[in-house]
Amino acid sequence: MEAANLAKKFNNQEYYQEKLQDKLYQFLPFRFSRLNDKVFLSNEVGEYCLIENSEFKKFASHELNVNSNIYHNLKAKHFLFDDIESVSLDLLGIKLRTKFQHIHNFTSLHMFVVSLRCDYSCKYCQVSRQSEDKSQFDMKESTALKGIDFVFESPSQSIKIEFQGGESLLNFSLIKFIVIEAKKRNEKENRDLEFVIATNLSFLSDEIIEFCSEHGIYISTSLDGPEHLHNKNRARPGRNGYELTTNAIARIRDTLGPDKISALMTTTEASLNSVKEIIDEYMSQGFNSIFLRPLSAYGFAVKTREAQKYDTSMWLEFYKEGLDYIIELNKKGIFFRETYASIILTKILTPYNPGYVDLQSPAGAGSSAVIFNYDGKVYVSDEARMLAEMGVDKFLLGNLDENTYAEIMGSDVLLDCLAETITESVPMCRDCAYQPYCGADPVRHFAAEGDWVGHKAKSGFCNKNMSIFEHLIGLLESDSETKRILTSWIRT
Amino acid sequence: MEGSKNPHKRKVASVDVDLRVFNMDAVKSACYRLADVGQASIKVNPNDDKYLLIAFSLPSSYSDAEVECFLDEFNTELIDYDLRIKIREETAVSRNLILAYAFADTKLSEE
Repeated sequence: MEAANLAKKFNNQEYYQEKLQDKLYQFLPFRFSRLNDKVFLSNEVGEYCLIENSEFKKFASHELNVNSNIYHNLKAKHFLFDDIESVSLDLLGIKLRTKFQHIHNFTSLHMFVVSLRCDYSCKYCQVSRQSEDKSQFDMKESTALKGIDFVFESPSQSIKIEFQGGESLLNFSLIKFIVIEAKKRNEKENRDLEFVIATNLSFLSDEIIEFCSEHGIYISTSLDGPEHLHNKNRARPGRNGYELTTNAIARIRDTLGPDKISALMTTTEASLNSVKEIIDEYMSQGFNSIFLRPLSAYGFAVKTREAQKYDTSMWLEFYKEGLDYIIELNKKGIFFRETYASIILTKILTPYNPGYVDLQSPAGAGSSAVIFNYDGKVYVSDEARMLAEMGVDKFLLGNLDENTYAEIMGSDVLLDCLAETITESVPMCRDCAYQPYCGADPVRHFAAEGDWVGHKAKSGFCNKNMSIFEHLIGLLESDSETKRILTSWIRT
Repeated sequence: MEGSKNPHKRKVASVDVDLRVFNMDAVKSACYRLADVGQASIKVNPNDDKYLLIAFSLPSSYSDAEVECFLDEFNTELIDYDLRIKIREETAVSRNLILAYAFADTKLSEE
């Protein structure tokens, strides 16, 4: 049913108003889950209440005292209504539209894998990199041009073009080509255009810095922690990778500015006992945030069995220890943010979508982000591309050199993937109180279970996220200073 | 409720559910929710079709206390899922109204 026709199919509001004869109040839609000895309630837009078991029983039985604080709190947060005014419904409708605004905007992030070549030998490499000298793994200009055409077919006003690899700077000439061509096209398109280069910084040069400065390009790199850990995880044959990376970070800060460089870490078995050292390293390198990320089971991470060396519960211990440490730093007056927590807190505490592809429903794969591989093949996400390098083409949408935008974005692969994994409809997610904060991750579920919905009771993705949601809610409810700190991490 | 061992090294715990009290969908949802621990086999009682017979296959290492704990958890999940169905039914109209308010003015394709 198209949404534009939805309103025409409804009678006026009074038709739906039940007389409040034998009920003190009516429910507004909500979900609930038990959290320790309390009950966690969330509504359609993610507003929440955490209430005592006894209060929940009364609420669920329509027996809550209308003069109680809990009653007023539930009413204020749109869990119940008790009059014929439509204010609650109007407000929820507006918030819901805000929450799903990103769907209307459609694809904003477009990734170009300009080269699969790389000079590093990271044992957890997820992209099945090729060695430096095989230029058959570079994207051609003709393919890149078609990629640019594709980018501007998207209706999104905000467009981000991200250069990925292998090591993207090994094909810097193509990066330059794409940036210049895209900006030329944008003179007519007038979108909010942004560029990011994901790179290990080995090949950073004055020419590259100058080009990035001229075109306002952001740099994203990898930093796994202090020197011994970074070099253990990310072997750079013949050189000290940590020195290369940190020297380049400092150089970029000095020339492009501190806000033009960001870093990501990957948790390996070697990282598990070193979360505080990793965080300290990020602070010493001038960063004010860190994204504590688990290892993804793709590519060399599977071949080398790195992906099997720890399980979700071990990673969650690592994560919670890191989060606690970061909160303590904030209590000492140092602003430092954990990125995944800030994404989730934005979803818990506001109706805004922080734009994190892996926590969206419908899935962000394809709808919010898409990737063009060096050979022109188009996939729903970077992880889907990694899966393809392992021989699984489940999420291949088409090829820039052979298919139109409509064929690629209208393909059954994408539409089925989005429609069948929407969390509002799948088992367990449908009833989960944390559903407004979570998302569908069809690629990860397919990689782990051979099914893009997955069995949520057994899903590592579900286990991880529910644990983090519960942990963050516990922290929000713990003390006012912790709540103030976490609230300051919201991204708008 | 009872537990027993089977030749495939899993412990089996059984429970009866009265369909006059609980919705069948709630039973299935509760079984699904606990599938990471106990695989459920659901049958209608051949002697009385108002009752379901559910047999859970649990880890053989489970003590009697852990089996009891699991069955208590199942009971809680069953009650909760049954309540969720009731809430969904009670709020279906208001949910549709909220969706209408949210999306009725969008310019999504109209054919």
